[in-house]
Amino acid sequence: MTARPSPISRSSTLKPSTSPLSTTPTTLISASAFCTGLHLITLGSKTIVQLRARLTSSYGPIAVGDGCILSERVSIGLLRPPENEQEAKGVTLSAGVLIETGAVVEGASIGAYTIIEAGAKIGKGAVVGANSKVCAGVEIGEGAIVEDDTVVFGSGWGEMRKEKKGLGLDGMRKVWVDSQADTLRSMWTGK
Amino acid sequence: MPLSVIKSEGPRCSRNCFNCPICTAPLATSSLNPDPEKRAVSGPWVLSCGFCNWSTLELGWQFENKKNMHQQVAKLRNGGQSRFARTPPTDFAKSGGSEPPSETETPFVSELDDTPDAAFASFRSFYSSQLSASNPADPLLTPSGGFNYSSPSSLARIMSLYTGRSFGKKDTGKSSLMRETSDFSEGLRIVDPTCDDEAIRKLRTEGWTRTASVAQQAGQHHASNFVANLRPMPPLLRTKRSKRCRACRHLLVKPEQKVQSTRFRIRLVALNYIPTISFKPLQPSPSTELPPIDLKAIPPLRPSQFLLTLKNPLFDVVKVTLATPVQAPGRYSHKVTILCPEFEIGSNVDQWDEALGDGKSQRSSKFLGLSKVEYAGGESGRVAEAGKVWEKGRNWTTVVVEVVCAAITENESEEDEDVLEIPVFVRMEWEADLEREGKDEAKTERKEKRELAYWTVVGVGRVGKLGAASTS
Repeated sequence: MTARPSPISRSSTLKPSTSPLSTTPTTLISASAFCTGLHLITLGSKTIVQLRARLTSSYGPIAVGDGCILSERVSIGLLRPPENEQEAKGVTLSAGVLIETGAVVEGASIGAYTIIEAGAKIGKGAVVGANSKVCAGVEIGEGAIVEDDTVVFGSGWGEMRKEKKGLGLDGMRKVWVDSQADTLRSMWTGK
Repeated sequence: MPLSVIKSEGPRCSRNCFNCPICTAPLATSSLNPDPEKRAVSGPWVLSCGFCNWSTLELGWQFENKKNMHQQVAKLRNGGQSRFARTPPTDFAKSGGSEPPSETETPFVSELDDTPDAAFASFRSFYSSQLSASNPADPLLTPSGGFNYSSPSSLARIMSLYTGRSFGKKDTGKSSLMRETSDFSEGLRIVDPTCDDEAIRKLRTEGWTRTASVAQQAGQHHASNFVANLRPMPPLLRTKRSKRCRACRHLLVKPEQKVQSTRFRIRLVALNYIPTISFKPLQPSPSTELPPIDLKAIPPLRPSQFLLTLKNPLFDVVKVTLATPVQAPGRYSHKVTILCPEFEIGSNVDQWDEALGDGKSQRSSKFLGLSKVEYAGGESGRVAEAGKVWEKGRNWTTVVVEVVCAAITENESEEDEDVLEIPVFVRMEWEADLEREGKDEAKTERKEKRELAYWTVVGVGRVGKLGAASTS
């Protein structure tokens, strides 16, 4: 098994892609990524969608901002019918969001430069603020709100720790996501 | 870690290891240098947690040096101010016994250093000097204030307490009176009635989330009610244990020196003692006009034959018994049949030994003979037969496995449900040569019967869709 994706497509050459997809020329999507649903899926510029990532727009639209990384086997989008207006708006990822391997995001919105680590789950209608981090394996409950600059760690619903402002941690996180995006891009395109 | 260091510093690491006070993950030393090229060599440095992103910046701590973190941390207070040097052992007795020392006599004590550790050090220093001043000849006391049990005179003194006899001269001298602490520098801490007001105000403004949990407080030297006051703690020391095989005393596991390292040195792996299993499709001969087996789309509802090869790594002939569930577990029950579940695999003797025909190779020669026969059919158009091995070599044997895949409909299938995996129970039986293993002291040819059994899963491929199979 290799983590490196097989032939990549510069834009929407998705294997069974039944959903309306809006991409930019700088969006990179793995050929084995999976898009399904009837609502619109929007992928911002310089966004990278890796192997076997699954974008499900059956119950609501998906909007992914610029410079996001959707790692292997992530699941983005509602997997069950929405129960209120907040959930019906679908899933919105702001710029620079990093979703790590196997994470499931059904939440309403994820703030800019937030990291969702491997195996984490964001429940339906949940809102995660900017510059936050949801650590590996943590589950954010349905409709929960995580403020900006918050680290959610532990197991289950986890514990929250608000970061002090002015320490430059938000800047470090931005540098980390951007450098990872650049590395992936150079690996894929060879440039 | 030397025992002397443990005695003085306690059972915690006194090097650069620290645990996160928030989540107990090990902290890493990282640089804050904005230049990525200089980041590896130049500071300022911080201790940061890779899991919950806590860093010593939250306490206002930055370090100039990457080494001696333990000493650097010990000098710092929350907020980043450095602790002043602790009070040198002051001879409080000189101050008259009743007069507290003036402030000019204790220039080293900081008014900021109000931690319990500093208070205890001051207390200890003060009372040891008081004790030595009031009873200077007491052999039970060491200069530092501790009890000296190793000296013979001390033992004699203790014995006198139990026997009631007086040993040596009776001390008739009048000892001077001891006084209590009366100053901050002597360790006196007077509780301020308004000291909790600040904590209550913080509780009201910052809320529950800023308070430390019971587990976090338990990890600290001195309990702290708020998360902002938690300090990184050096991890508790653990014993280092290597594991050896009970039979041959071979080193199995040797933990690494570094606490952070999870790598274990394993010298013996089980894979070197169990047969290597390989699985490949038995393509039908062109005369049958059947399509070749594609492992990415194995045709359903039709028997497909595969070759299961087991390669023996041992130096003894192994008798193998294979078993598998008639129907593979999972949502779709694929039928699996091993046509020859019982067979033998030749020993893994050196090929040169066989060629030169020395004594040991003769033991396996009868099995070499088998490699030329036991074929179930002719060379071309061979048909697999039940109870017969397909092919046999020096230390390997191939048998045929027949699989009838269940039909998978495209609409119902979920991710990876079409993957065909066969659980196989392998039972090995062989006679180990004790002479070769060096356990037979009498040097007679003795053999010991050994048995090994385990479950393994053989991955085959993906089952094709029913529609695709019908079109082919």
